[in-house]
Amino acid sequence: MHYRLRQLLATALLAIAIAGCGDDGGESVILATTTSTQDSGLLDELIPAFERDSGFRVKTIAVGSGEAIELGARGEADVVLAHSPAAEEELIAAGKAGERRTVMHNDFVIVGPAADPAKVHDADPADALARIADAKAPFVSRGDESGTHTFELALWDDAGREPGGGWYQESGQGMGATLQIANDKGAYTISDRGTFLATESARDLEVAVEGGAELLNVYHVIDIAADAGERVNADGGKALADWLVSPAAQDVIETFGVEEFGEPLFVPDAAKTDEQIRAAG
Amino acid sequence: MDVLWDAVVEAFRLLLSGDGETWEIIGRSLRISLTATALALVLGLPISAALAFGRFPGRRFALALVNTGMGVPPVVAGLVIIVLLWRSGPLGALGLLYTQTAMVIAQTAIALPLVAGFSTAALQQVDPDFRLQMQALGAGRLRSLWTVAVEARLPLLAAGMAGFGAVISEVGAALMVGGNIAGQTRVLTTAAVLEASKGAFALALALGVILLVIAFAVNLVLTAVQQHGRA
Amino acid sequence: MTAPPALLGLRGIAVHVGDRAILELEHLTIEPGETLAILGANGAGKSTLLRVAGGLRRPTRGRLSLHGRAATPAQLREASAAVLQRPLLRRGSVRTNVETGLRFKRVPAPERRQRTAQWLQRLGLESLADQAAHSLSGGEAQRVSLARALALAPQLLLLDEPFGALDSPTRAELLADLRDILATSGTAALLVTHDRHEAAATADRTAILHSGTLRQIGPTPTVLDHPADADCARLLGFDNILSPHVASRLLGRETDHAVAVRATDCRLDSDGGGAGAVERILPFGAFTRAIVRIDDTRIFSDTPASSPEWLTAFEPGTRVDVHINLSAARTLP
Repeated sequence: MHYRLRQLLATALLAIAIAGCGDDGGESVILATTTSTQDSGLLDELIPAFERDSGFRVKTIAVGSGEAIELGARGEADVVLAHSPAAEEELIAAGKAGERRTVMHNDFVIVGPAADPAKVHDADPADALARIADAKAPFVSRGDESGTHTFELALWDDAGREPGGGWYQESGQGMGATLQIANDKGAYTISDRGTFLATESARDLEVAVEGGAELLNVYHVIDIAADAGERVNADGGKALADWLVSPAAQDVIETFGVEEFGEPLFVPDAAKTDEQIRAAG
Repeated sequence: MDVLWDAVVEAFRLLLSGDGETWEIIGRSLRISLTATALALVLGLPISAALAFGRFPGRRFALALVNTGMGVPPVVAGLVIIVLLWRSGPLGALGLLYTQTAMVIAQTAIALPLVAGFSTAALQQVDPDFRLQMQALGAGRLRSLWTVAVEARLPLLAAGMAGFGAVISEVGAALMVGGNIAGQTRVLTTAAVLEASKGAFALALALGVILLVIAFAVNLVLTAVQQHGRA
Repeated sequence: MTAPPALLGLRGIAVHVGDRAILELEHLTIEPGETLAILGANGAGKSTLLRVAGGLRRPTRGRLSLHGRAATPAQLREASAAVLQRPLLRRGSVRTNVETGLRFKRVPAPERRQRTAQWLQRLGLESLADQAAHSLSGGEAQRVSLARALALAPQLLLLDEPFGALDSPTRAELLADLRDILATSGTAALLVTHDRHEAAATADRTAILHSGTLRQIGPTPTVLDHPADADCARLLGFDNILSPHVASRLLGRETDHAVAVRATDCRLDSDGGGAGAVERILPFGAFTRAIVRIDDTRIFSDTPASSPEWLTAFEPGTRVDVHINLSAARTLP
């Protein structure tokens, strides 16, 4: 009886080992980032280059901005790439992180149907949202505490409006899906320019409001301190952070998207401060 | 409706053109889910034998637990495994989070109640005196149990097919525990979810169609084996 | 001079389920080569006894021995092979089924094939050898079950009412085959049955089990014809158990014991004074049963198939006397 039991256990362990064969590679670095960063496709270019150069194996976990930072805070990730300034600052304040460095920026745009029922074309961003709320024009929100969603909520604040009611809908999904919903319903929404350009199913929407420092979307990389949790790969996290602000990475960022969309999706910003970026934007 | 037709066309285009990424994902999906199903069978058969033939206090309670386990949402299973495997968890030292191994573990946990529950019913369908008769012909305890299992091989294979169907199609656990990392832990279901969230619904559907085709192929083979034993 | 030890010995056996005693047996032996029938009604504990003897069920207490030495259940299973009530065949051909036990014992392939072929032939199954076991009739299936057990060449063959579910002609045929096989193979056999004719046809000794206890055991002809008590008598087909008072009256002599007599040994006579009256007539085709009431007692009388005249003469209400064949009457101790 025991003999058979041991046979079974041995088979089980062997099976697990075989299945896990796809898992080997270098030492792992866990990068927590946002879905919009992932969806843009930029990481698909950057990460393999880093892996080649460094020998590390990167596990990119794309979740909402809030969750990415939370993972970093708990030491479940080694490096965080996000675009949620307020939450990032909290992370630094809590002492869990090494450095917070600027990597790149792009901008948000307010998009909507060509007919522009709320007449927001070329308005001030906060003003535009006020007009949308007053006109009760359909608006689709991410509704998922992502960086984009947090930005949107801050903008409602600036507009002095509390969004809610039948015209305001929360998709709870990623940017691509949210754009498709807005497209189908002829609604307004806020999107980062990169995703908007890349999403075919948003073809009936047009950019209504763009430009200006208020719509800047800055990405920072934060490497996590070794004492943030057990088993943090601080060296690996720092290596990736260092690499992202290095000329090699910044060159890739500068040209990403030009071929496909005619314009770059991001602007590389390593070593600039936030003020400098704002002044330029 | 065009989307559906486009999806089917796209699915076969991806399959037949030998698209590297697609076939990599297919291979990974099959490897993970078939391993999990096999493990569930290996672990589930002794459990179901104990539940079918054992006489111990709380047997019925245990059986009810197993049957309830069939309805546990894969997401919940994934969450439990995550809490065990993440760095600050009890098994964090194994460094298994976001690996295929972790996905196998999660899917085995999902398939196990299904396989064990159906296998118990399969074994109980055999005449209760059958095992006794085998022992009366010289079979030991384990050998006679094995003979009962062989006798019940049709419904037992069905239990396996049920387990496979459940795990090849689940997304909740695979997503949470694997992280949907390209080239590492992305499988058909998590890839479909990713494409859907990006708004690329036709591609997401195409992946779904591919999943159905693959699952059908596997079940065709298993059914052939099962029905061959129908002497 | 000591006799050679029995093949199988059971001592102080008791089987309890909850607080109910299903079986209680002080002492029982089976000699090498003999066929022992266990006769009893349903629920008498016969199957339990068979399973204990075959090491298939642990008794609550008691000791079993093989050839005089203490035996574990595993050893008992090794020495015996069973044919249970239902054929319980596996998926596969008849041949595969007959091989089952030989495979369990890891008998090498050439010997296994030879022994299987031998027993297929012996039980007339050659033409069915490659047929699917599940397509067989009841009788054919039990033949396979028998061949399967015999192929193991066991020291003791256990048969649990093997022919109970079969129709009479099939049962008779199989009984005859079994008797021949047992006579020539030297295998001992424990045959559990509720049918005394099966015991009469095959067994050297017969034991009667009633409510879990052994009431009587001895050479088959003796036991079958001389019941030890009223329960045994009923089991053995003695339809009438007469109280001492009624017995004295009908036998024409005083006795203070109960008397058992078969219905076939009671003849009706309507010419005399008529101590009793016919209550009912039950025609059974081959014979007719009359139920006669004498005082408080019912007496059964069987007559070979009767003519319409007989039926009229003995119609219900007729006053009759019952004449008992004295040599067939058995006094119960």
